[in-house]
Amino acid sequence: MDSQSSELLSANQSPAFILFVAGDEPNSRMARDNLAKINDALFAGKLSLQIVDVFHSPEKALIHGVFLTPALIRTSPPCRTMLLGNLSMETEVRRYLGQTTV
Amino acid sequence: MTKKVKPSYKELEDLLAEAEQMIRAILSGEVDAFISEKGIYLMRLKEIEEELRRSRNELQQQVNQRTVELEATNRRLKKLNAELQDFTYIASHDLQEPLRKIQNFGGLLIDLYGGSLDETGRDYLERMMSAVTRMRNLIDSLLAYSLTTQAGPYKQVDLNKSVKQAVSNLEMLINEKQARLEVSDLPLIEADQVQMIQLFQNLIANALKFQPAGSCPCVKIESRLDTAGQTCEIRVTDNGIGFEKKYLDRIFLPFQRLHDRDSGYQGVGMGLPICRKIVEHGGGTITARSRPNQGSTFIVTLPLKCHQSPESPDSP
Repeated sequence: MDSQSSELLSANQSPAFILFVAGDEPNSRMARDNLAKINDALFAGKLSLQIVDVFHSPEKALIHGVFLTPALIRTSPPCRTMLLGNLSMETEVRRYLGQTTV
Repeated sequence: MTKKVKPSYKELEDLLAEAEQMIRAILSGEVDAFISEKGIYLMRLKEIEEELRRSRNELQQQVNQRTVELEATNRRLKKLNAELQDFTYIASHDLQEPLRKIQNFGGLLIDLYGGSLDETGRDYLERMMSAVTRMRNLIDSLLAYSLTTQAGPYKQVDLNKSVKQAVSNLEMLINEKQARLEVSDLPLIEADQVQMIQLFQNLIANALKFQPAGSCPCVKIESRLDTAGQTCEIRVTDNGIGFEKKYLDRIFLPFQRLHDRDSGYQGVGMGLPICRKIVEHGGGTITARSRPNQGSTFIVTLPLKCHQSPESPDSP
């Protein structure tokens, strides 16, 4: 875990994320893998992360205003923006996760 | 009524950033499903694109392969066709010489020794000479048929003049049969002049030939242009014996006769096949409508312009 990520997680707030995926579709699988790698590497797997398969729970996606997958959203503290795509752009993902400390 | 809320600059900026991100994700093929209240739609854009590319490549390969095969077949067919034409020409041309000898010596036999033969002997000789004449007609027709492929230069041909020339060539037969001809105004087309005369001559001769006993032939030739002005349709109608629809294909085949030699209808069955060859070489079509004892109408469709560059208009 690097110093930046430790710092990010040092806040009292408990950030929570949901990754919306479409079953085992290629981009969804990649997003899951990429996020798991970042979680392991930077947050020691401690990131509060829920994965929602829209094939099983499409209503959850609609409730959160997600209509494209894969999509990563922050539910706590709530954030207006979401991250779309297979999360292969690590810098952007880290920045998005880093916003949790705000 | 819904109250309109004016978004803040920050909110607009976020919306724009999100829209930009969506567009980027979609264009880069990083999304795989679209969720709506009606259902989930998979967006396997990259896969579809790849599949399309693969199909397109396979199709192109198949087309290339088929093109190569077709070109090879085409070359082979052209060669075979040329060989066949040469063979037909040489065979029919060379057959004429021995036949001419048979005819000449047969004639001498009748003239010089006919008197010393009994009735049966003379009958045999006459039958032989009749067969020779028939064979000669067959060979002449075969020769004419093989030569039909070799169209002369295409130029502006006045079909009225072609009919006039054909009628002139058939004058004796027309007078003998007391035939009546009605010819309406025909167009100018780009064609082979000699073959157009041959076409009308064969069609008119056909109409004169297949007449019920004792009736006077009436042949009507008329034409009309298609609406686009690309082709002309020529109809040659007669009041002859006609034929059943089932024979339509047969009448345009070489040496096919619908009537046997004893029926009284002369001919070797090459007139209409030659017509078809002429018309098809000119890029047109020929067909017929007929019923037994109700006459026939031969319908020729020809393009007004051919692909070759025309020469100056023909002279009569």
